[in-house]
Amino acid sequence: MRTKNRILGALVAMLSVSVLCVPSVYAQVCSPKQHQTELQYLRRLSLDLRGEMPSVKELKAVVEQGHVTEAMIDNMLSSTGFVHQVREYHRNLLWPNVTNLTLSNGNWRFGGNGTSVPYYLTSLGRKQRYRGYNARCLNEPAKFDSNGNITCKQETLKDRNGKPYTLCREGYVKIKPYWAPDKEYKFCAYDAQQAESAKHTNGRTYNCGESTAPKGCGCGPNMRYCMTNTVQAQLTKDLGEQLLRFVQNIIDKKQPYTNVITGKSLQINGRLSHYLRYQTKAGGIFINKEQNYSVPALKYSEGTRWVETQRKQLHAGVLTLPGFLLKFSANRSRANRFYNAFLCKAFQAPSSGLPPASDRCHDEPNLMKRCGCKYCHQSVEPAAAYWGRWMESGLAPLNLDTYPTFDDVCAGSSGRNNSNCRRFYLVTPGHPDEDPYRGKLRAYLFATPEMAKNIEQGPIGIAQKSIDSGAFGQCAATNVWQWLMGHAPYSQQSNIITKLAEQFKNGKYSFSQLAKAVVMSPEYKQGRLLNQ
Amino acid sequence: MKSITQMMLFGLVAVFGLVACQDAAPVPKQTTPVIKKPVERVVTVAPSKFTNHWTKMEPKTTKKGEMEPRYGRKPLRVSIDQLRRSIPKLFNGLTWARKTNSEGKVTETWFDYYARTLGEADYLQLTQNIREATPLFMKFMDDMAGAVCEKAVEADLKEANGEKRSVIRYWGIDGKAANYEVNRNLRFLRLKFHAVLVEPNSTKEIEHLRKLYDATLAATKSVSKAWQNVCVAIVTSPEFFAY
Repeated sequence: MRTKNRILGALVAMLSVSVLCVPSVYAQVCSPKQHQTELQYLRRLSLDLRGEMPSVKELKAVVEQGHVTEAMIDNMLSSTGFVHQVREYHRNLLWPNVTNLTLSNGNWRFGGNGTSVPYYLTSLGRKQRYRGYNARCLNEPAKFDSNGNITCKQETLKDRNGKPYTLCREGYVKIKPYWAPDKEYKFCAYDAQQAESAKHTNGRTYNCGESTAPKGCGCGPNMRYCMTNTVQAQLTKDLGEQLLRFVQNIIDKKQPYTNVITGKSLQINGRLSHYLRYQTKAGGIFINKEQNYSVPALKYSEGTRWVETQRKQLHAGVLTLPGFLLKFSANRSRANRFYNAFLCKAFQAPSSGLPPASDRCHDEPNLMKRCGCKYCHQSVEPAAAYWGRWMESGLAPLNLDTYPTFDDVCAGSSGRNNSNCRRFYLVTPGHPDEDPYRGKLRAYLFATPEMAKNIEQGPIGIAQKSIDSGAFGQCAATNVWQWLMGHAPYSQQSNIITKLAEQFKNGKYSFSQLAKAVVMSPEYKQGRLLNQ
Repeated sequence: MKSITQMMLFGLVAVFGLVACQDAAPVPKQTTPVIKKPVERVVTVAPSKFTNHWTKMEPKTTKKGEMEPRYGRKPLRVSIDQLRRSIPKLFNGLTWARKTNSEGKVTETWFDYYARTLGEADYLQLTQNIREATPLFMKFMDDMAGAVCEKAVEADLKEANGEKRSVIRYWGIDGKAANYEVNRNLRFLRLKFHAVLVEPNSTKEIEHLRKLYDATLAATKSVSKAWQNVCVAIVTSPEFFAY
């Protein structure tokens, strides 16, 4: 009898727990209402995790099984659709569109179309050097003397003011350029010169891939040193794609998400390979010879072939990828984006922080001290210092052996005439407080000892610091929550985010597992009804 | 005596179990998870006639029970990218084509062409995707639905195998389908496009579509037009473009 009572009591207890405890949304597995909830859950999952609506087969499976299974979610997380969504998520985070940028100047960029108008280099300097005036070549086949030298037709014309001028124009030659190896196009003969090097009138010999000075230099074999606007548009697209492929690679290979800011791999396709091998030697606006990685030798035509290589010193994840460096071209901008995207923080000065314009405090050259500016720049400057050894408005590292912290030449009077000094070093102090920094690398201007350390560490320093402090994980959890929930976490949900961040860290920073944790949370599953 | 004590013990276990579970999974007991005034402790009571998530309902506040307010996932409008990817999947590869090559392959879609206008971020001038159901978006959905549905229904009417049809799955091509086949197909469309289940013995969630089908058929005498209109109504419905 006692045993019977015990069993009965236990049954009552178990029944009470199993029936009453389970939340109603889970208890109503077989009711039509529950079907609708689960179907909407599936639809949300599919659109969020794969970017597309669920198939009829999947919908019917939910109707039959009564609920979305964990296996269904796992399938979505391992699908190509999820990779697509992760790319879109990072597109939103890192804005990798640099198609508005100009990669080279007119010394290396063609005008014309190669058919009705022969391709010609657009810079005034090149045109004057070749033809004695700002003019392109004649649209007729070029002629050569017995030594193979280009001959030109001497003309005297009048400008718009009636003033006569003399020029000597050559014709065109037909060449198959690197971007269209199967088709011949017309190129102005001087611009199309194939020499690797040529002698200047000053007696020095120059490499034609680096200098435009000698008249004997053109665009080299197959026009390899020069580009068209179409080539430039394709290259800038590739730089954005390169950044997204870097992230995609981490997700595909199930690497820790921390690799996004610390990883050293890099993929290069044929077009970027050509660009880096032949078109970065001229210096100029964005580039120099050093990248701190070896570039695989691929043909320009191998645009869909991406080959992985490993980057070396000073590199750190997306933070030193060309797509990031060119999009956020100033060090302060890079630091700001890092704070926004990976620390979920923004620099915001207090509303009453700026004194009247007449206040002498505005004359302070150090932004960490200047009134109004200091509220943000006390944090911005040390953070920006991590990129101190990276070119601003460029994509190359400033290695210590090539760019010492202090340069005697740049400190001297001749520094002003040196383009490298003008660009990377402080040559002309604009304020007495800047005098001690004359000849120093620009990043060291008003640098504190802490900032100097940051400069030497490179972006890997701020990346590792954010991971070690837990800020990176917390922000990733917040960002993924916002992506999938459609809103930033409410203050009441901060404990959920903290828990997600802990799980994320303990789960070896698996991005897909973080997404899974969010979509399996009651907040996501239940959602808000659409009429609220 | 012992047995009474044991019974009480088991009862206590049950109560503790209940309390513990409530703490561990404090989810609302009904289907309306969001409370508009989070500071107020309320119990929401779902209406008795719940049929899907689009049924208009008002949470009733009793101020008696205790429930931690939850802030669930916000409803979102589908993005242009989601439409770009979903439409071909829903319509057997058909999409809102703007340009096609000589082989009939789509080389550019209107989704791409209108992306900027419709607020898809290009990360040059716009750095955030706009996800509001603006009048412009509705106009766009209308145009898209008109173009895609027309092609899809035309293709379906040429396809003998129902399983290969994207819109008219359960309707005889000869135009002599039974009444229940029309309703069956409407149920199929509701499930496929809206993820709303309409039970075989119910017409509640398809009545409006059935009316549209009958009215169009009566006015135009065209089965094709009738299904096109149904298709457009489905694709332009908030149940399709919000989730």
